[in-house]
Amino acid sequence: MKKTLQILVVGVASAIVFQSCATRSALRQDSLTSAMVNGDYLTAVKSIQQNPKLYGKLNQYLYYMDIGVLFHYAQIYDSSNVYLQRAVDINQELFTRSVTNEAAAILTNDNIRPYRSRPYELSMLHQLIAFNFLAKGNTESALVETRRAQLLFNEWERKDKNGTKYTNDPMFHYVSSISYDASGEYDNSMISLYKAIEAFQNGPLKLPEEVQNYAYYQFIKNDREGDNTLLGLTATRPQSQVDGIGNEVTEIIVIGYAGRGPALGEKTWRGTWVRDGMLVVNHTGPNGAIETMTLPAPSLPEKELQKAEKGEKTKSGTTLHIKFALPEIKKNPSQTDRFLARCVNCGKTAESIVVNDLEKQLEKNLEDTRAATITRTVIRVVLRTITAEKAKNEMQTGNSMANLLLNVGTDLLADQLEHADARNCFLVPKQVHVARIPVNPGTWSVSVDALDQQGMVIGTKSFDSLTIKRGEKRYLFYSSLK
Amino acid sequence: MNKILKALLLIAPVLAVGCSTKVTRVQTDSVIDLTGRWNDTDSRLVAEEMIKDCLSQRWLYSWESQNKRPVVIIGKVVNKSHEHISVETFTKDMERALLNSGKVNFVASKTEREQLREERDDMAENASVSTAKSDGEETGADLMLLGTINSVPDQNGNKAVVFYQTNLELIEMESNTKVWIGEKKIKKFVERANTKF
Repeated sequence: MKKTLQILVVGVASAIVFQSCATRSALRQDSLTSAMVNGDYLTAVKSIQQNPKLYGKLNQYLYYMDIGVLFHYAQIYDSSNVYLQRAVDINQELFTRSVTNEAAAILTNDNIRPYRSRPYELSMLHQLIAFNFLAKGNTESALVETRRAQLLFNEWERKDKNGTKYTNDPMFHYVSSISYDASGEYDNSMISLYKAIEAFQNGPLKLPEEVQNYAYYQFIKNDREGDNTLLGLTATRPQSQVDGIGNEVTEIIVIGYAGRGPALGEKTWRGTWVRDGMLVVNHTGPNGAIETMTLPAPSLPEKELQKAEKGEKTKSGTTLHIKFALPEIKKNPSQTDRFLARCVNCGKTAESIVVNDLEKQLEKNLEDTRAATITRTVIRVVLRTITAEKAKNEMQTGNSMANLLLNVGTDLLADQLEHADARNCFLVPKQVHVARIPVNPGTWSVSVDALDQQGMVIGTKSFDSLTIKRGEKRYLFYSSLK
Repeated sequence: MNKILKALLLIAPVLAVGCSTKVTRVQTDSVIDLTGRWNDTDSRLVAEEMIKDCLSQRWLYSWESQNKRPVVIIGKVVNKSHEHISVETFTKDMERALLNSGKVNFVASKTEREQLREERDDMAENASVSTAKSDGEETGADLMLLGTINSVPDQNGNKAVVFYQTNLELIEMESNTKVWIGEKKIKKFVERANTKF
């Protein structure tokens, strides 16, 4: 066997092993979706734990994050934190990159690299750990997460020379601001609120009017009017109509998870030029539909025709084949539009606001990484095409039909290598909502409705006999992933 | 063929050892840094420094001159760092060292007291009158130990400098007077490899 063909065959063999990384992601989506939608989170955990091969060694980060997310939805906060902390550790262990692994990825595809998470997922990971602590009333440990995440934000800011990428998370800073306030660190609370507004203004999420007004009056209350000027912040309502202004306000905070987060699929393009034959272009979308376009190829050049007349070997029947794949977002429609929280025995209500939209975050991530993804794709496609062409040349015979069959076979082998990195944590919600109800210290019952776009109630959850102390922030969680 | 078999038999245990988990007992005061995060060595350094300082300062002489042993309660040591740190590892070390010095007495902490009170309530119902312990006989603390752990991390790519400062304070319960402030600073430089084979 010729050397180049050997390289190709070894590559294909490893690709067949690692190709499953791409299909595993789809398998995970299929196996976990129904349990997620039905709120049967522990069944989903069991299914993952019984089938760790769905993740493999390269996706250990996702394995732990997925289980941690599911335990969080199931409100088993201690278990959730065990898995989420492990995901953080794995991410840190993956800081050092393997040269051989990176080189192999250039020759095959990115699925053979260990999954290192996307920045917004890492923020979400720390946010969920913080939420687990807040659910248990442990503000101190939640603030440790704030400081850990801040290190990430600092590093991302340092790397982002143009200031255009995702480097800060509005939700994270907004929730941190509430936590700092609860622990009496008002300056830090205002700094986090400032960063939250800035992240809303610079990111893909719209600054909610409620947050805008809250921040405006909160800055004034804390003698930081200058922050309003720096941020260009104005109020749209008088202070009397804005709830919860002040420090150490006793309140019930409802965190709502609406809809299922986005997944990734791959979009592929294939083109085969059969010299002296035809030009075939295929495009496969993430839903699997294939569009094909066939055109007659230009005839052989004069030089080749002269060779044919002399009975010499020509390029007739040889093929030039290119395939490349890029990740594409697969959105999940959400029935849940918003949440309405009611303090049943105090009569107060609050409609939720969107503080994070993971669909928009993934879109932004794909945009931020587009140049790098395309560069990597081009390099590996070019390298692979050159290798395949060399292998084909080495195998040419005098029979154009035999050439065609050999060429098509080689192209098929090379095709197997090309896959986009379509891995992400699709178990995160589509949106994270917050509803805040300032209350007096006492014992309260809360009912939370999940509403659809028409305002119809599609689910309700009740929290009874919540005894809330002065200055306490009581966090309640409701997942409506329909 | 036999040679090949023999060679395989010799190599097999080596390969098997390579794949199995290896555990070695080490001295508890040995310094092993794996990630650069706060670890047992940091905790031990804080405990050693605090114990030494606490037992050698003036506040204790004023009690000794009156032939009294102050009663101390461990309060909250707030973790304001960027890492999840178990503060009990050094507060317990400190409690043990001070108690064993014979110069200080300790009373149970808030959570311990709750358990003890629950047990006394149970005793009142179920223990014999002669052995049951009564409520309202607890010893009040003279001093409370409070503290904070702060950290200042500075990171640039694969290099990081982390500065930890642990402060512990003994405060008189009656007058709110601070009688002792202990401090331990630790600075670490952490460098991670960018690449490996």
